[in-house]
Amino acid sequence: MFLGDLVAAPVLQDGRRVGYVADVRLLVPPHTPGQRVGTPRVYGIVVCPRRTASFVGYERTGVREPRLLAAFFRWRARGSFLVLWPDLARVGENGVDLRLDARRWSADLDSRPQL
Amino acid sequence: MTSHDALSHPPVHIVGQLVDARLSLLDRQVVDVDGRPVGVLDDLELTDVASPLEPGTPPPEVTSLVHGPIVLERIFGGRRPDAHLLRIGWDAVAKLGPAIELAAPASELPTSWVESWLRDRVIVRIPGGRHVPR
Repeated sequence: MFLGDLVAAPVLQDGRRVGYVADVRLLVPPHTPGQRVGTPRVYGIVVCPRRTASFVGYERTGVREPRLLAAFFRWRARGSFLVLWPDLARVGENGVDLRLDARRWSADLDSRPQL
Repeated sequence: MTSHDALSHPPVHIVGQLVDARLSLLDRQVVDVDGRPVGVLDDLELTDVASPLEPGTPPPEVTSLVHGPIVLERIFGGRRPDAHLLRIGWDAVAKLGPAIELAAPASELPTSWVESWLRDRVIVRIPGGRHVPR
């Protein structure tokens, strides 16, 4: 499976489209034996209600400058949310299905360690 | 309303680093151990998962970096033959940052199908093309 197949795929819940995959959040563990960088695994997906998913991440990071662009991109990605891996019911070529009781979390990376 | 306003962070203790693949990995330069560019990260290959996902199914892991001429596929869809994609195992990654640094020199990395094809079909027929230039 390629990660690129997931990006921009439709996200459904109870047969209803709730958005599109804007990004795939990976968890890189501090150490994997025999490797310098731990093997990343899927932590969750960032879902944007619209196809105009942000690729610059203003809505997920603390970047606020330039203000006009930041405000525009944050507005365009409004309503984005994170769904954790255990709440995914199906991952396939036709999209991603969420479990009926899937929780929506903040897509914000601000308070998380990041690259 | 943005995600900042209404939603909270998942109450999960994170051991490691969270990285958004599209934001921080895809399309980044890949450099070898000497800092020489070896390509751009076009995609990541993940372990396969069953569908539908049973509760408790472990998340897929990244197995390799994928580099290949995929611009046309991004525009028109479809997929190139597997042999046309250059895969570099994740165990070769030395550091993640503005560029993805590998722990091996470019000479030890797999070559692209274009380079292999040219070597095997064209270069080898040129006099002197079967050995390292001196």
